[in-house]
Amino acid sequence: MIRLRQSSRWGLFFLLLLSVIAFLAPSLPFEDPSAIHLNQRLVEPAWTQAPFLGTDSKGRDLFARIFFGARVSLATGLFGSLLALFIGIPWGSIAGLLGGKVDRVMMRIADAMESMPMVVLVLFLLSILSEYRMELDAIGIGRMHVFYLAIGLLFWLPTARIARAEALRLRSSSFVQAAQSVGSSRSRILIRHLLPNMAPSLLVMLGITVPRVVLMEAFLSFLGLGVEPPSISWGLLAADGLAALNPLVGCWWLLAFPAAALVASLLALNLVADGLRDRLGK
Amino acid sequence: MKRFLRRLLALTFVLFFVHAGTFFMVHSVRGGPFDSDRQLPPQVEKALLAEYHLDEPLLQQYAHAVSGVFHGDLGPSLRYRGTRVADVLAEAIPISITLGGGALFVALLLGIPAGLWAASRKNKSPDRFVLSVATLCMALPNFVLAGGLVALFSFSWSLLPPAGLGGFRHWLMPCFCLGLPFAAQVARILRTSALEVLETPAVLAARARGMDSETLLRRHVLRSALMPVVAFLGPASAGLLTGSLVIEQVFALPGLGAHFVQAAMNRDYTLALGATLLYTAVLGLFSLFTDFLLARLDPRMESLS
Amino acid sequence: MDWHSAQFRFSLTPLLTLLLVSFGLVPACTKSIPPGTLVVANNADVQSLDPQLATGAPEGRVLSALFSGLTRIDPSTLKVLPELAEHFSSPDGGYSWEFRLRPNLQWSDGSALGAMDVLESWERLQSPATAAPYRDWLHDLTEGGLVVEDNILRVKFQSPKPFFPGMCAYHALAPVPPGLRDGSESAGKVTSGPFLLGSRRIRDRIQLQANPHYWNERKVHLPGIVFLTVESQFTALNLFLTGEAHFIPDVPALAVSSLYQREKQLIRDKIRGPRSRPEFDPQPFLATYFYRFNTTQPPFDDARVRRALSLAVDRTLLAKTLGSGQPPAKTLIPNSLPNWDGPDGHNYDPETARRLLREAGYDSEHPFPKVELHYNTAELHRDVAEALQAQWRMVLGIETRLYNQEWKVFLDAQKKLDYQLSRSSWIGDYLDPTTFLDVFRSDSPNNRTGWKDQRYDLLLEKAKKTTHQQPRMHFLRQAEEQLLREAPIMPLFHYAGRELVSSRVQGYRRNLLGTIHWAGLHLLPSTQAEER
Repeated sequence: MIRLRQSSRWGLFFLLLLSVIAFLAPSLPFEDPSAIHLNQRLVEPAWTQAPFLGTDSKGRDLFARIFFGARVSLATGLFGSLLALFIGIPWGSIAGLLGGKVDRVMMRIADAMESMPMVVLVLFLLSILSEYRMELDAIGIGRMHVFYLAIGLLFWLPTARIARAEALRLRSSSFVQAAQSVGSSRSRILIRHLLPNMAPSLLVMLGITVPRVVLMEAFLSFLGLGVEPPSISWGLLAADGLAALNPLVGCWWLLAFPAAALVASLLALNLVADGLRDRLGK
Repeated sequence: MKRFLRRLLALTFVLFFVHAGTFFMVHSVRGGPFDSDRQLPPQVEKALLAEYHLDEPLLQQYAHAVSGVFHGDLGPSLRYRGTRVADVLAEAIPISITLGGGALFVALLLGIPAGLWAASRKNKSPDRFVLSVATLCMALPNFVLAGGLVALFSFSWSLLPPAGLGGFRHWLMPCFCLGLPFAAQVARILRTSALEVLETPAVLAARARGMDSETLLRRHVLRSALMPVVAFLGPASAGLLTGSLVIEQVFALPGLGAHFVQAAMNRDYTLALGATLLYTAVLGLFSLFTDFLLARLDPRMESLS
Repeated sequence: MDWHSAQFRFSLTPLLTLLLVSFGLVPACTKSIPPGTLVVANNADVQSLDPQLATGAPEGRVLSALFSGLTRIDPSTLKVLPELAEHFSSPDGGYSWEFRLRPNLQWSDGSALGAMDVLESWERLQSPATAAPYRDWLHDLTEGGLVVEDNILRVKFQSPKPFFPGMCAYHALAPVPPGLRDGSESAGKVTSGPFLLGSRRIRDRIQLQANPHYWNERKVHLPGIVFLTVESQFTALNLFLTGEAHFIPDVPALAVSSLYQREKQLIRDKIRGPRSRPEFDPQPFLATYFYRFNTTQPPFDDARVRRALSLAVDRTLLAKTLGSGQPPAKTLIPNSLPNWDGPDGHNYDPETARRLLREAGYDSEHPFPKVELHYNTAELHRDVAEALQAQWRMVLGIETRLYNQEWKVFLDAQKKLDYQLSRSSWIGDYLDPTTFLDVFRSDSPNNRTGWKDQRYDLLLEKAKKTTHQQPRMHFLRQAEEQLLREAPIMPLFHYAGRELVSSRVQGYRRNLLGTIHWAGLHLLPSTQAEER
């Protein structure tokens, strides 16, 4: 067990707690997040009793909706970013380490991928999905899986670039040159020296990627390319609550709580990433 | 010079690849440009498809599109009937340059000092403050930020117009909203890389000689520490300059951002392809410029690559 | 240049230059809005300024200011009034129509506008090469049915068209200028209406100025109109509330109840008198929201099943759920249509619904299959789909799967009958039941349910051949009864016109068709109270 500093431990605790609640949400005594109650529309937060965080325009319980939304948002953030790292790190560090022609070709491929219009890519993946949705349903692949794939494909490029820049920097540093001069093989250098040294920057990158992935989910859902009911995500909740920012419409809680959930968990994530980086950086 | 030309050649290949990929993907997605909930009479739809060569085999259409690009013709827009794609894009470019340029300015103006400040006070309260604010800025969806600013500046204080094109005052909120998450990222990246440079033997030695950290930062650290920032900002500024749909919608700005999203959603094949080509070219040039800068900042890279 | 010595100024200097240059660029292309100009936040950008090619509501608003038809519809009485034609009549109960154009009409460039222009425009509309979406509006003209004589246009149809003068008010039948007909100039350059095109920037704004050559130029009060492209309803509302826009065509559903309260507040605060026109006052609109059944596949190839699902929907509850001021719909044709007495339609009747489902052979041993419900991405459609899912589960014990599709995919699936249940709506073009009923003829491209019914087609055909209004309406009523009995569709609610119009705008009347008589509008100067 790595010893982390206090703030990171709090962050980790928060994230774990949130994940456990979100994971178990269907079997916990929450209100039904999609049950419509017309007689209690837009009820203000009661804080200590039933609609703790108020209700939305259909009388649905916001407290329950936020925890059910966490399921989608956390999963998207986690899987999307992990996929991005799994593609990006090897790609960038191999390009940076080998250099020369390989580097150029690999980076041009990355350039081309980066220029691919995101919406076209997502539309394309979704249309394949919709063509074979019965078959895919049968083997348990749904829209969310395509979604993770699309996000991974969109976000590995910045990771690859950072990895490459770090590899280039580390490659010329004294200790890698020393290792090379005593005859260590390249793959050995990569595994023994590069990855651990790259970790701090990549953890920062992860801290940047996860929020972007979560926000991307909100954006795609807004375009109708993301999650669909009965699934809920924080991004969707925040987008639904956008009206609250109009001076005419007073239901601030519709926007404040989903946004707070988003910000709090990303803050916790960053605390954990910072703590880990400090440990690994030494 | 030879390297430069080689990169340009590579960019041409990238353009070709992206054009082909986008063309076949966007044409294979379900639905057509003239589908509407008020269906056109069959003969009318046929005439329209013929007018835009959409009834030909796909490969023939592709050949048509490629030869068009070689002649500098991006074709007619399918949504804006009677308008050329090039004209649609040309009208949006100045808007996007202003918006993106302003956002980049915000990103650097706030991000660089914040990142350096945090690095020079590692683990002290300024550092924690910068990091927390940066995380907050990155985690806030930009429509939430935009809505909040409009509520404050347009309604509570009646200082700025809530949306639309106009003078300098109209640009303040959109540029700030678009730039803020980038400023946060710049600050974080710069802080990390500055800390790493501060811990290298050369800097530690200089510190041992009694140089204070501010001078160190300014004289020695900044240039190396900026490398990851430049590596990040190169492609990011291409993104900034080509706009953001959400910001454009909230502030009703007619920039390029909407075309990347809506052209594909409208199945305006020609506009989608034109916008993609433009973005690819801008991105390619920025990445070329970035590498050039990186090489200048760190002469070792030139010898390596 | 020596980058080394420049340190980090390198990135700022060129950027600053770029920024200054670009801030210089943009104001050059944004003209300020002259005082007295009406500002409309016009939702999506118009697809075309060619009156024969454009469809859609934002287009309709701009084009009705630019192009005049032979007639116009009075916004308060919905009567057909003469516009470019000073007189119109039918000698034979609607088979043929005569339009006498006003003398000395001019296009906005000062050239003469005569009956020949109308004839050539309509020929252009009919030509397949034009690919005009409203081409069918003139499809049953007789051979040589268009004749011009002494600035009089004579039109002859194969069947009576009592509502034809009303159709002539719509931009699709407005005359288009010679330059547009021969393709020598771009759309919007020369116009015939009260306004002409000042400037246009795609996705930004369309700026109009009063047309000095308009026949009734003295009666035009506004110096100009600006149509802003504002896609977000919230942004439009913000612009309205800060006084930067005077007219917004729709409001976010969440704001509806607050806007009603705002009206009361305005009266209480004496900013507006209780008798003057309210700024927000949703009124029925000639449009219906409904669901289509795919009648070519089980389980919806059985009319009993379709009716069962429709009768199981509590529309009053649905309208309350949506809370957006839209009245429930039991029939396809809105009852607000003048001179129309429609059938009773689909009432909420869970007993009958369950019985029909049993008769169709579904019981506890043969459970109803899980069906898929398609809708396109929008908050309203999602809410409706969720409400239907809940009501059917409760009343009939039916499980549905909601499938959200992006607009074009959704349309493609609907067109190819690749769906089970699909969300839909229809907006009437003119004040006659056929604007709705023609949609479900067997040969209509808008049918998209696979439903082909001989009796229905026959009733419509009979109505078409009838000159007298009373028997004609009788046939049409029978046709709608047949449609509701067979239920290839399930009406849910009628749209309401929820536009928000500043009290500074004088002369505005809400109506069923959403017609706006721009020439009759007038913008009062802003007072201190409103500026605040």
